[in-house]
Amino acid sequence: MPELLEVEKLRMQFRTEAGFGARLLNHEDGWIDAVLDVSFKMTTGQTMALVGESGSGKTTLGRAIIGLLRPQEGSIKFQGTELVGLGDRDYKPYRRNIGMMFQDPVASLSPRRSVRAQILEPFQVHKYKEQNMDMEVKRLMSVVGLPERFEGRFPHELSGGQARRVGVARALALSPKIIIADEPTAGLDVSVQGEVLNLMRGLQSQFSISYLVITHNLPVVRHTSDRIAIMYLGKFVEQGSTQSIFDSPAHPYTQALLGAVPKPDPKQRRKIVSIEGEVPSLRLRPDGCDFHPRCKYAQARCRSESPGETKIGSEHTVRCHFPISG
Amino acid sequence: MDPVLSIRNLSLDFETPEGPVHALRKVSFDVPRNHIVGIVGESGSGKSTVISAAMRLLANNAVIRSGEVIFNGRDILGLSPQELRAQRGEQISMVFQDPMTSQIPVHTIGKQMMDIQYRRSTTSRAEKRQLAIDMLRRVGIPDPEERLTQYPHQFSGGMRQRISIAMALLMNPQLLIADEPTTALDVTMEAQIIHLLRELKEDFDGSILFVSHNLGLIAELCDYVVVMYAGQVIEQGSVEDLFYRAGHPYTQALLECDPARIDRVTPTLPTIAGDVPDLHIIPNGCVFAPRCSQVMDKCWTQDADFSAISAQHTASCHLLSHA
Amino acid sequence: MSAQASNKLTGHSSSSFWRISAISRLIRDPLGLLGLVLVSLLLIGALFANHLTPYSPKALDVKNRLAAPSMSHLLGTDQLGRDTLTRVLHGGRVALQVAAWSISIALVVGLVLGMLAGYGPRWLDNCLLLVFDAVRSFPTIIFALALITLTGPSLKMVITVIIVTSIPVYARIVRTQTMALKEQEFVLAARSLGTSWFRILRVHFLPNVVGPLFILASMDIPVVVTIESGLSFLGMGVRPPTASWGATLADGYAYIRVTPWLVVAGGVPLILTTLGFTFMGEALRDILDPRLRRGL
Repeated sequence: MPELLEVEKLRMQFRTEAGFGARLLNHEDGWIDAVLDVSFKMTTGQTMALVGESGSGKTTLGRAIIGLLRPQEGSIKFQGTELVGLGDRDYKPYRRNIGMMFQDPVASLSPRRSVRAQILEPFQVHKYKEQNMDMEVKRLMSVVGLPERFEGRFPHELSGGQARRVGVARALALSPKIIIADEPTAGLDVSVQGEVLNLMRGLQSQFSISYLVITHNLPVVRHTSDRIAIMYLGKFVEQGSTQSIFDSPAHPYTQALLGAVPKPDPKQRRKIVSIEGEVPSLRLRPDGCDFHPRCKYAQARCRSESPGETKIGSEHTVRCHFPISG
Repeated sequence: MDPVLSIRNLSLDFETPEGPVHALRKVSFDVPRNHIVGIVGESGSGKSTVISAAMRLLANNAVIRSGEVIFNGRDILGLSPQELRAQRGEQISMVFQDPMTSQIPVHTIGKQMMDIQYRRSTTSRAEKRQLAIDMLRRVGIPDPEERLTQYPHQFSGGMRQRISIAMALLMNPQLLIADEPTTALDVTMEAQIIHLLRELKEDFDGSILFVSHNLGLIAELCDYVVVMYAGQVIEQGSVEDLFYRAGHPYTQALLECDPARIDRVTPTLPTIAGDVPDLHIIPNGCVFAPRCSQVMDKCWTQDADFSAISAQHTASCHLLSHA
Repeated sequence: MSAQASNKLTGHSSSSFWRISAISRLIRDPLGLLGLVLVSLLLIGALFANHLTPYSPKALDVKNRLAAPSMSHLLGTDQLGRDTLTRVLHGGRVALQVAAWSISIALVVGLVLGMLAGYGPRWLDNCLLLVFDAVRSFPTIIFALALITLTGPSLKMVITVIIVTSIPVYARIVRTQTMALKEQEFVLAARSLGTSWFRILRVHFLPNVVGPLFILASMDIPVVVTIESGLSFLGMGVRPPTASWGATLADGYAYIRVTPWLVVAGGVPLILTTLGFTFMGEALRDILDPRLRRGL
């Protein structure tokens, strides 16, 4: 029985914008690896979080999986079928299986189309017959908790929360098996972010949807995801179940990331900063291990040799020469 | 010792085509000397409006209905533009949310840092330059001498925010206002900046007014906290008072909703039902009544006065006036 | 909640872009109203030219040539005794025909090419831009004169020239708008659904770029009318005896020492048309898309 989604050794490259001179001086070859050597699996009804900061490649990875970007190397298999290398026409039917929720809920809606038209769009693109579509739109709107009277509204007339629900309805329209959620809580107050997360959770149990959540919000991830993959400079530095990542992080970057989240408790103030320095530019990837310049445990081997992924538990892998033993 | 900043009964409207928006209503709080005060609130709470009022950087359609903003004993709401200019940058300075847009893109940071010191008439150029270099080093910019000739776009977001802090502290202000200074930064950089602010506070002889929606940062940094909701201050007290003995139902609910505070893994996260009210129409009763889980009949008709829970800890809730 | 209040600020209403409220707001603006009145006069004059005067524009009455205005000839007669008012009204017809054909065709072609240039691959954009810039590098009148010298004066030629020189202008505006929209998240969302580029352009881009374009095109009408008149004045436009304001102006220029009325009859309609469309166009622009006021 093939996995729902299987990604293997995925590589996404972009042309660098550096000029000829800069490339020569810095020994760059004009390409940057936004995503490198990424492998993971997803099963039905699972929520996986892609966690990373800027430059981590999490957004690029999400877009590759939904087919907005073409990988240079590697494979993406949906229920056993290889998606990489498919032409546009062959790819189109698979788009029904993967939906996407975008980060800016209002900007991701077409400005001059009504809510009804936005939700109908997936059906029209995939040439469904018009007859039952009215019912479908009403059904989807009620599933996401949008009152019927919103059907004729336009994006600029919606609040952020309402626009988000339209985005969910649209993502849900073709009954996908996987929904990629790009920063579902971005811009939301803490007192209301539960609404969209709880909605997503409800839909998951109702329709057996798997989520790939792209986020940097670790506290939310802890409560809502089954598995986490931590990304740094385009690679997975650690992936595992949420519990094992939070209880015993193996990669120094994971540890630093967890340590950087401020606790809402005055008695738990941190005395020292968990990590110094900044994420290096993707154009100047460090030699050896990507993280070694900022790693407090770095040793000679880390400076020269780039580590591969090693298994340290069931379903828990880390990319480090000297993983932290919990 | 009198507070460096004292906001007293500030009420402010924004004039719009649909009528006035009552953005601030009887906001009062103090910023004591040499302390860090945090204003925490969600969207529509008015926290950014209060800051703008304190800096007198309000939009044209803002109308102050009543109240005072007293800085160092003077009501700055009545100051002339020249007097205000004398104050800004020197006695009150500000760090803004977006480091990418809050610096002049066409001047080197060296020039910007020298310009800020224009009131130091007795200091030579070389000395001003050295002060700038020292400050850059203090905020963690490596090789500061070379950096002076660089332009803002040549720095990353985290670096630019450090530079913003350096520029804000260059003239030793008595009050530094930081409006969501880390919202646009990655979490690891955010931790560094907050740590930097704490360190600097020890060095310089002033107060910080820190605005944020992030309870973790407030807990991390602040001595006193002011909680705002829909244009009103609904609770204020020391940081321990707030996090361990919150009096107002909104504060309690806010703390309950923060996923970082929930220890047990909870797939269904708590929320506060309802929306922030439309500030065109101010209800008679408590502004939080529609969303309050402990609402009583009284709350719909009468707004609560502030009750003192302890020496510095007050909250405006009918539940407390019985106690 | 307060979601319904927001559209009062923008003036956009829920269901359609071209709501009756836009016209009513136009009427309230004094210059806009004036523009609307003038344009209406022009339209009525042009449409009913045949019925408003008893004369034909070609009817000669040489005995009465160069007459001053009188009860029988409200604007007098020209050098061949033709009734000037009739010729002015028919001239209006010519002006509007030229404007209607040339602008509408240029709009459609410009819209398509602009969207392709903005949305399509870079090489296509570069090619189209090259063509646009090449065409625009010729001053319109000179270009027209050159072509017309080769082919001879005709109304069709005038229209063709105006179309060819207008397309790059509209296309560039559409291209800029398209490129601005291309980066927005809703385009990404549409692509993620598997929407074809054709559907993206037709359904998502078209309604957003067409609005400003219509308004700008309406402000182009007086320009086109002036070009036609200019060419006709030089004898490069309409062929006699077809009536045109430019031709009447040319006649008036020749006979100005005898009577000033031909110059007036040729010039005043031009002025009124320009003012009318400009006022109306600007007022409409301010109502429907205030952002455009800050310049292009």
